[in-house]
Amino acid sequence: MKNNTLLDKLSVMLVSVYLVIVAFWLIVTRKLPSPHFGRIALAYTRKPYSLEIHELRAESGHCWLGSLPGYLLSDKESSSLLVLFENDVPLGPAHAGHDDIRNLGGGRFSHWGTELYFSTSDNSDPRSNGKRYTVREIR
Amino acid sequence: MMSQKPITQRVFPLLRDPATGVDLQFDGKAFVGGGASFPVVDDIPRFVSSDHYVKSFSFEWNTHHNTQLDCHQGDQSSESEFVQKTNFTPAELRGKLVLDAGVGAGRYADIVSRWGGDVVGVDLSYAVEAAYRNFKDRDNVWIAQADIGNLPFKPASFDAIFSIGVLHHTPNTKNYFMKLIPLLKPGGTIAIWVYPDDESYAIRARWIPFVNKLPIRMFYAWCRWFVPWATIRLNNPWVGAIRRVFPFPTHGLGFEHDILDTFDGYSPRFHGIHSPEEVEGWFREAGLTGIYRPSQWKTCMRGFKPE
Repeated sequence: MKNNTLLDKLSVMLVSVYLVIVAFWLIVTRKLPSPHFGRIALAYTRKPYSLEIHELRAESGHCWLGSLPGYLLSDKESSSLLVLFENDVPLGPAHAGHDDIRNLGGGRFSHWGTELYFSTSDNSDPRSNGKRYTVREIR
Repeated sequence: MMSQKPITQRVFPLLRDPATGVDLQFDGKAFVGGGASFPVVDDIPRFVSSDHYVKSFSFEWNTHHNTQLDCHQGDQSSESEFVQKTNFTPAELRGKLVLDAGVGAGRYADIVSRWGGDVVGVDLSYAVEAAYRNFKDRDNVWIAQADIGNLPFKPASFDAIFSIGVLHHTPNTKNYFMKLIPLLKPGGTIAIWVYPDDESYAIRARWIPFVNKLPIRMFYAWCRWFVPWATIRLNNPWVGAIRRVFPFPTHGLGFEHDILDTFDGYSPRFHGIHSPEEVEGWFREAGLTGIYRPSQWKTCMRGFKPE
């Protein structure tokens, strides 16, 4: 199926307008979390962040944790701008669900608040696999 | 006429009228007994008169009839998830009679069938038509349209029962779970997974009353546009902000999976969310033993009926 009919295009427009109105209502009535637009704008004014992660903690399944500063824009509020590198090779998918990181691993990661939830490319233990893990903010 | 697969020898003696409990016989056109008659339409036995409150699933699974089937996709993503959520093994289910409560298009029935189990797949929605097409050539799969809260089977019919991602779409997750337990043989095992009470599921629950007001096909057309548009822009914080208030999945298995999951996440009428402790409590209340969580998926649970 492709969005190639006039009816589909009309549906997309009408549903988009409707959902924006609903979103506005749910945010105003505090039934949905704030989208943090101000924090997103501020994130573009700072110097890009980078760090080699040394202190790694096991979470569960294939998931490991690393600590990050609280002022960075994370997937908890929006989309983190951080990219995780394993020996300078970017891992991913970024912004992954935490259950997917725990159960599937394979390099999936998520920057959530002050924590980096991540998995290694081969689901090995990052504390003993001899690889280096760094994060960099990419805009 | 209905095709007579070998599995019917095993299933037909178990059938009974879900309302009266009277045994049913197949007369060549319908299942009859005690004055009741349940027709076979398009080769599928129908124990309900319509798809009632699950019209979105009728649409969804007939549109995405093979999106999640490993046998069509050539991968093992569904099998991997099935094992994680149930801890079932091929050796455990081979030759056993297994109930898939909420079969959909047959994502998990496909696995049990390939493992050598005899699978009875039931669903309230017209997804059974997609499942029937997917498995019409498999001798060990039998599909019927029925309400999992009122199934047409005698007590102690099944060696194993699973219901993954289904019970939370019923009017009462716990009650519908409890209605499955009598169908399990003594010594039999049941595994379920329901939506956890995580933030993203709680947020979806707030959207659902509003999304339910949209015509199903319009919302689906929107999902087909929105999911690819947003997914390729995931690194953009403004799109991230949208995802914060309107969570959508990105499993890394392709757009079709994610479109299906997004539609599936917002369109059903009922969307229960539950804590692991709550689910474990249902298992205890049902008198099951050997209860455990098969994996890191928070709200998957497995238990055994005492001998």
